[in-house]
Amino acid sequence: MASAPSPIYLDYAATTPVDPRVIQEMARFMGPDGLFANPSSVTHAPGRAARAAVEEARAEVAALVGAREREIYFTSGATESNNWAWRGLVAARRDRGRHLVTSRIEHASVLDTAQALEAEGFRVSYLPCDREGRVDPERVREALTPETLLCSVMHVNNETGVIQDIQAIGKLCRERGVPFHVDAVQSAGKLPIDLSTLPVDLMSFSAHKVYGPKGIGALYVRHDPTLVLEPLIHGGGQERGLRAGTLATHQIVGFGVAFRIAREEGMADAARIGRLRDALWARLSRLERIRLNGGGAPRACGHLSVSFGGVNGESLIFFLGDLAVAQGSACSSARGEPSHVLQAMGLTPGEAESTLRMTLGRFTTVEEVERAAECIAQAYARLSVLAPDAARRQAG
Amino acid sequence: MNAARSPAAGMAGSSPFDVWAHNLERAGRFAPNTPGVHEGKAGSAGAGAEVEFSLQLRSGRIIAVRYRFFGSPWINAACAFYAHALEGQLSTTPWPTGAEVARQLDYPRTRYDEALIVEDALMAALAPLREVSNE
Repeated sequence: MASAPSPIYLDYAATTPVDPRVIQEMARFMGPDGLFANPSSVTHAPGRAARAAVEEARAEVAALVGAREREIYFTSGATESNNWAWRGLVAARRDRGRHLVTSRIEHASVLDTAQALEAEGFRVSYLPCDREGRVDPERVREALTPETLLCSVMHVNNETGVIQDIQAIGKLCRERGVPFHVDAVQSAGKLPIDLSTLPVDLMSFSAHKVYGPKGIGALYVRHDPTLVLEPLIHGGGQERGLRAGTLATHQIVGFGVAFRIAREEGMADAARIGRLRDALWARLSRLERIRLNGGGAPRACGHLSVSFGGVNGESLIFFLGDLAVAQGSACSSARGEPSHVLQAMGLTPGEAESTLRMTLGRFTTVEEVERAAECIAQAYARLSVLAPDAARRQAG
Repeated sequence: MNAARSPAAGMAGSSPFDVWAHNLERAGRFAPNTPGVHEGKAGSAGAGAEVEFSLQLRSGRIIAVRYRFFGSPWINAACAFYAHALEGQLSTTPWPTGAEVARQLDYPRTRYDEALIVEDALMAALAPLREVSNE
């Protein structure tokens, strides 16, 4: 009997499967016969071996992004990294001002932190984006003041894949002496990043978006000149006293291997994924009343944000069966609200709710793209004819 | 009205919501010029949900129901449930409220409003008939 087709996973921006090579290496650091010792226990050989593995992984993470090893601090993930970048910097520099700058299209871990700081009396400027999802560096220039403590703009948007001009924004911040934080969760391993030349002071990374394990990330903190951050978590003095907590050796090792693979294969992967993404769009673009969000801007390789006029995205997903796609980010899906990113780009709440985010990755195949396009076209056609005339007219 | 009648056999999913949300049996519209059709609608696509009900009546009895919708699977589940439950009933038969349907289909509280929009569309289609019968 023929087996049912396996689900098609097109939600790589939410998380990626762990690369089997990463799993294989991580397993060496967990069992009783492995290098499971606490990397802070350097009084014995197993602890020193674990410590060496941690430092090797730190070197791999640093190498992918052109940083120095001592500039990489391990965290529990990008949410912590983003929180730490903001709160750590504000705590260290609160005597210099009470103003922060970010964009309206950031990840919830940045926007919620910004709102929490507003509640504590800080003033936050939220920069708009244009219809293609780009933040104009000129708006950054206008927003920066002598009171500004931090500017934070993401590199690649998690919903649309639109790439921000962090070189230009960072240059403006550098000229004004304002530290610049970049959430690089969606760009690391997909776009070249060279922190030895980029004017960026803080950068957040996550392993699980790059075929590494969940629960581990890093914050890059520029050391030349040294940027002072207060710790967010206090305790055992790990990570040079800035991030307490027993280092999760197996996670960190997995992170390191994932970033090494990304350094060695990421650009070739990106080219292949980009071709698949374009092939998927070529098929979908034949459908009526659809719009590619951010299509007029440079985008990272795997993202496809498409609004399907006249149907609700949640229903479309519901009738897609074994196709794993998202409506917005995983985080906004959990909140059940129309995407703040798409609304910032000028879409109505209804249009935002009619949008699917499809993100392709390392293990996406040509056959999956063809099947996905067919499934989407069928479900869209089925639901389109069921929409009231007014809803279809509104969709144009 | 036996609101608990279920077309579950052969349907995807197992929860009441799953069964009804996958059911598109009565989704769509009647052929043009179908006699005895009464329509009602509620909501708007711009606000995220819009429903149109079409009821075909003969001798005061609802003989067929069709609906069209823009909205989430929660909207469709309530539409499909109502459409199934109404067929064969007299137009004067009391129908379950949106809140009752939401409870019966195990809607989370945050989704109750969607069942209410469906109820509003149904009321819009049925209300003129009831006014006539009350005169």
